[in-house]
Parts: sequence; C-alpha cells; structure tokens
Amino acid sequence: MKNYLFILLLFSNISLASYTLGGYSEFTFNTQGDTQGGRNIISYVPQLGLSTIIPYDLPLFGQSFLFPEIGFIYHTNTTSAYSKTQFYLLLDFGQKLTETSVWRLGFGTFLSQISGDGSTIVLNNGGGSASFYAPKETKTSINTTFDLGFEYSFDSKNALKLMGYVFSPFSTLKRSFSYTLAWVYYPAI
Amino acid sequence: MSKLFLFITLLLFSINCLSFTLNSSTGDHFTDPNVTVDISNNSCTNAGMTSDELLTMAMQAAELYWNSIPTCKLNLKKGSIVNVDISTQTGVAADFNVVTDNHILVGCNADTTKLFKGGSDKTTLALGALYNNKGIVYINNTPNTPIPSTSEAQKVATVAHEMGHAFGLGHSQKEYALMYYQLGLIQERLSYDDMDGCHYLYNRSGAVNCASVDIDSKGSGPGSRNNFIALLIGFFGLIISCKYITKRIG
Repeated sequence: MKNYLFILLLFSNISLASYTLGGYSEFTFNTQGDTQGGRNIISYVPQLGLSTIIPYDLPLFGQSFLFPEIGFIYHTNTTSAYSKTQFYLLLDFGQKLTETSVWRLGFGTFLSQISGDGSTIVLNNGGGSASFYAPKETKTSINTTFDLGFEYSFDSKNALKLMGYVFSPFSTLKRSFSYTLAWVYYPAI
Repeated sequence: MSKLFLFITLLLFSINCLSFTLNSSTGDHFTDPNVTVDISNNSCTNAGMTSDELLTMAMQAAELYWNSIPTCKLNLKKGSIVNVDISTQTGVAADFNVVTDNHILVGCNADTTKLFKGGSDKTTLALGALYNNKGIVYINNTPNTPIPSTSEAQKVATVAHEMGHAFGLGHSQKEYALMYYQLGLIQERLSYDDMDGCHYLYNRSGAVNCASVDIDSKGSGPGSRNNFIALLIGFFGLIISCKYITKRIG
C-alpha cells in the first residue's frame, strides 16, 4: 500500500498527469483461443495506468514529448486456484502527427506475477482421473519490450490510445506482440 | 464523452479461465532451464516411427510450443539418440535411473501391465513424468496404439504435451490448452494457460539481459518487491532528470 501512495505522491507533482483505462491483449497471434485453432486477437483484460507528458525541444526533432507511464493489468479469471497480475513501466518518446494526434516509441518493462493457493485439483487423466496441484508460490517474470503507439485526442480531456509491445524482440522463437487499446483522460487540461 | 469512453472500455473486458496445474504439490521442475531432449533407440514399430523421426518431432514440439514463450526461460535443446531401452519399463521410480540428469528421454514403450492398461488401451497416446530432475516420455507402442491414426501435427502436439508433464506441468481445464487431457483436432499453438504454467515453473529475466533482473521469490517475500522498488526509483529518477534537462534547455 505504501508503494502505491508513494507513486501517487510522485505523480501529483507532475504536470499534465493523465489516467489510462483500457484493455490489454497479451501475445496476440501467438496463442490459441479456441478448439478450432483460432488465435487470441481480441482478449482484453483490464489495464489501469498513470502517465504524464513532459514536453521538450530537440535540436533536430523540434517539439517532442516524453511519455512516462506506470500501470497495472489484472487478469480476471473464473477460478480461484491462482491469479495473474502485471505491472508495467513505459518510457516513450513522441511527437505530434497532427493537432489532435501523436505517435510514440520507446521501451517498457513488464513484471508478470503468478501466485496461487496450492490447492489440489482432480482432473481427467487418460481413461481415469488424477490429482494435480495449483501453484502456491509467487513467481515473477520481467520482460523488456519495445513500444510503439498512437494517441488520438477527441477533445481536450479525452483521447484514445493504441499501444503495441514487442516482447523478446531479438529472439525469433520467443518474439511476441501484445497491445492495449485504452481511453486516456486528462483531468488538468 | 468521458462516460461513453468508460462504457465502451468496460464493455470490451473479457474474463479468462486461468487453470494450469502442476504435477506435484511442491512444484517440481528442472533445476537448470536448459534441458536436453534425448531419444531412446528402441523399437517404435507399432507406433510407426523411427528414432530419427521421433527426434525431429521432439524438436518441432520444442520450437513450436515450449521454446516460444517470452515469459518462460525453459530451453529444450536437441540431444541425441541414445542406446537405452525403455520399451518394457513399467513406470516406477527406478526407470529414471537410465536418464541423464537434467535430460528428458523420449521413447516408445509397449508395457501392457501398468502403463498402457493391458494392451486394450486404445485412447492413451503417450505418458510423461518428471522425477529427481529427470524426465521420461513414453510413446504408446502397444499393438493397439492409436498413434498411427493421428496426423503428423497431432503427433507433434502429443510429444509436446508429454514433454510438458516431463518438465513439471499437470493438466489444464481449458479445452484448447495443449495441456488439456485430450488431444484436440487442431493444436497449433499454446494457450495462455500453457504459457502461464511454463512462466510459473521457469520464470525468466527478460529479452534485453543487461536491463533486467532474475526474480524467483516465495510467497510475498522480499525478492520481487525489492527489485520492483529499485525499478520504480530508477523510473522516477529518469522522469525528474528529464524535467530538469527540459528546464535547462528551455
């Protein structure tokens, strides 16, 4: 809890803070989503983010922005045996495309955490059944991502943001793509 | 406008079934995520495949499925065809004595007493298990084996499923998961469930190694929290630095 208060205090000191509420679709195209071999293209799980815009001028690029963002993704589930949550930190560089749109490019870090209650689950096994076990520890994986995004403002307070994240960009086997589609709200503008 | 956005966003949310399981209550897995896959050279006549074909299939299974998960550092490596006969093993602990440490041995088995139910079993394609840092996958090579009636893709998925057991995973409740107890008609990729299971057993540090940290914590222990706080401090340090530089430039 102290960590979250700490984050909120830091953000309260930053001008142009914004809130992001959206859906996160993990490893799109790389995962199977039904028994017919269909892939998970739209599989939104709730994502909540806090971000800010830091404007600055670069000699070659002109008016540019830094978009630091911190967020939380909660994987809703229908069982109570284990849960999955993700935290992310993004630091993107961006520029205006038009008066109402910006593109952004940068790096992100995703912390994916799985934890469970260690309960015993009886499942089918061959012709009979057998006991299997839910996870009982907390395990976290950290992934660095390349980010690419586009944000379109509908008015002074509301924008729609599409962000893509490339996981394991240097590995041909593990390279995967996730994305978020989110509503961004700028309360201070 | 804000209410409309909120409504649309909430409408898009989906609920997934998170249901991977583990083979053992203690979450047994290989101590080294670089696991070598060997093939037994005993006969696979009834299953209709050679040891070379089985080795090719095992590597396809590794690359198509388990080696492709960004959040899992498991790396199933190609081993060799070894002169070990597992065709008459009956699924006891001593069977694992013929397997090299941190290896998975894949081979055909025709045991009709325990493993494949008196030879009348026409549904079990294969079996897999992990014990003492060693994994075994038995392909059903009994006279009634259903293996020849499956497609090549299903054979690869079957080997991948059993390798999942051999590195510590249990079954999933999700019908389209590779680790579901029954083989689906089409199993081209892993499901979220399979990926989460591999992530849990072999959590990884990241794609850009110099910028990431390995974390393996128990419960709510200090491992992940300390690293996360370190990342947060670095992150906000960067923001404050940028603001300072911006002011200086301005």
